[in-house]
Amino acid sequence: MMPKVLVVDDAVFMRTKASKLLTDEGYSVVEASNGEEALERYAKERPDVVLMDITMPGMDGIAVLKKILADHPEARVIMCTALGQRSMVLEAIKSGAKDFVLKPFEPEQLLAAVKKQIES
Amino acid sequence: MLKAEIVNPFLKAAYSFLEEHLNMEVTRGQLRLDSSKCTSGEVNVAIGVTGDAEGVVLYSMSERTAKSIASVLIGEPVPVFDALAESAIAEMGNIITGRAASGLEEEGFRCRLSPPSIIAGRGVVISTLDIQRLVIPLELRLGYLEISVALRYDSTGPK
Repeated sequence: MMPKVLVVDDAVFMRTKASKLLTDEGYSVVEASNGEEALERYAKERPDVVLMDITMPGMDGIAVLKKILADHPEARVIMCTALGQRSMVLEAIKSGAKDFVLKPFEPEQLLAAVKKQIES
Repeated sequence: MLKAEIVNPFLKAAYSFLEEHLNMEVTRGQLRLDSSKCTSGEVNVAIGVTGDAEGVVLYSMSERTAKSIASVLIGEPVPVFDALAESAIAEMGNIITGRAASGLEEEGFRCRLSPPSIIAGRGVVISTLDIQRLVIPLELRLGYLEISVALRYDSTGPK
């Protein structure tokens, strides 16, 4: 079965871009545009990896990360972040994120990060 | 007066984004300081800045330029400036301003950014009131992009 990735970002452009990259590599992709939707989708779809933006309106990526891990400690979450969010990245890693990729993503970096989690 | 430590992070951020992600050479026109109202381009991204420097950063361009830039970022033709294209252009503003903010932080100005807004339409008049705008005109292969940095800060320097 194809590994499944949940892409969480409030910006439709970033979701579309990430989904296209992952779909072209043969992954199955589920999208969510905010934190609440991400929690719902996670519970329902049980993705192998989550790729999640840190800055989102409402519940931010770190809050969503903590909630997902509280219910599903096995979850593998990669955070997406723009430059200049060093403290947020550190907090995400401390909170249990497995990895992070810088936005705008380099396709190879994004795919390598996802692959690493799938194979781990 | 806008100091070099405020201007340079924006120039650096814009150049690095446009050259890396649009893969194109950028020619910079003459920088100018403007305090009058300005008539915007057809598509504008506005990003608010708060913290040690505060105000707004505007990215202004024609719809044609916006569609061309969006099409490169998305990797597909953009015949209509739709929600996906809007999101791509907003993300460009986000990324350039975000990079500039990390440059500002290195200079001692810690700032936070608002989510981007898109202002679209012909002949929209934008005023930044008593905050002067530093205008950075950029000429790209895909058209003309103008960045206006309207920030005020404590002139005694970073806290």
